[in-house]
Amino acid sequence: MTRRNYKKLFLFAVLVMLVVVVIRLTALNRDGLTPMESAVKDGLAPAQQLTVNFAWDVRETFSSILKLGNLMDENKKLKEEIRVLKSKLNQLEQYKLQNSRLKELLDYREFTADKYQLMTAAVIGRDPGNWFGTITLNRGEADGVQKDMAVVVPEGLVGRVVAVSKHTAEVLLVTDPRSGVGAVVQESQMPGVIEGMANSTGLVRMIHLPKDAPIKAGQVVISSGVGGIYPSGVRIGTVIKSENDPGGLFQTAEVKPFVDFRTLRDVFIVTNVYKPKVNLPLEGNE
Amino acid sequence: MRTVLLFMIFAVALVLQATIFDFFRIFGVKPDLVLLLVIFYGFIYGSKEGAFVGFLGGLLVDFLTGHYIGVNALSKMAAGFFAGLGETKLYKENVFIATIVSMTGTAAGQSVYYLLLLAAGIKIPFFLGLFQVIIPVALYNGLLTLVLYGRFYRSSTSGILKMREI
Repeated sequence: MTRRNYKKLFLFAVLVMLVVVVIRLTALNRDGLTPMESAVKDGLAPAQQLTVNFAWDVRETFSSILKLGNLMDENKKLKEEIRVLKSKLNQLEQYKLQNSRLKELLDYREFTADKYQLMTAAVIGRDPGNWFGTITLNRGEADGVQKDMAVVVPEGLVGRVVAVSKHTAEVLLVTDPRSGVGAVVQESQMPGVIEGMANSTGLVRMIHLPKDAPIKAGQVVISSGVGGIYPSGVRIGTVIKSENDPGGLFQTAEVKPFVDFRTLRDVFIVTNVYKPKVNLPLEGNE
Repeated sequence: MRTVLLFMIFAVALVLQATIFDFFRIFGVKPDLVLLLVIFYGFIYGSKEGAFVGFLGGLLVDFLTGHYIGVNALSKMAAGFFAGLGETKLYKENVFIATIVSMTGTAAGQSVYYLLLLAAGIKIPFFLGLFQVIIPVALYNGLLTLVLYGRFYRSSTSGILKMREI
């Protein structure tokens, strides 16, 4: 080994020892930074800040691009989920409405159980024109439906069966101009006949009312049972106005039915009317 | 083929009228689609054809409703004949002229219907019939003419409903 090499080795040993000393001196438990360290740290801090921010931006940009594909998939899935949920919600709403409608029908059936025997039927068709008012029901001869049976809903009188096939029945609505129903004004018991006008008007009129009958707007009209087709006491509608007939003997009242015939979906066919047992006093009886 | 197609169009119109259009009433009425088609047909092909198709289309409606068979056949025949009077005198290509023909033809057909009801003993007050049925239906049919006539005219002159030359 040459002298020059010894010198190098010595200097290296000194350097190592120096570094070891510096390592010891700059351990975590020392009091503060050296001025040099402070200067380097403070001097580089802004550059570090900028670099780090830039690095974050780049990272976020790349990550967004990578995520975009996933987001589109996620968006598609969520949209599909919303569509399914919306349709379920609509279905639930339908069930709710159907439930309340059927409950109403059931209540009516129970309420009238001692008066009529009722059969439920659904409306499956309507008259295509504007003058006549008929509906077709999904019950027919096979279900025991017969001609001239009355048809009602909880709101009031609908009409009567005019034709029956094996599985359908055609019902003449009270708004049809061919329909006539024996009726009385509930308050005064004044008799008359409820006649349909053009079906599209949705109105009916009460004819053959005595001229001096006290008819006022708002009075309720019910069926009288005269004629034997319609049961008595079924609500028909309320009087809107009345006027004298040109002949001078009678007056005619315009009546708004309680039933909204355009929204009819389920109805009752009156298959039997129970007659109350009345014991008439016979002559000579005690 | 053309006759079958025409029959199918009438049947579809009738079903739409008895079902969906019940929910699309304007002024309380629904349109008379069969009558509208009869009027289109009469206006394009003339009185004789219009009256013939009107009678058959009306009969189809009468068979569906099942009572007073002939009321629709006669009233639609009259409307088809009436619309056909304009065949050679008016511009068939113009949708606005077709709309006026539709409205007057509908009013004529509905008026004949009203008179036939009276003849059958069904009394409907005149002004009620006029203002609550005849005029509203004429307006509704006029409105639909704006949408449907162009298509029907093109089919009749150069499309699937074109009559074979003799």
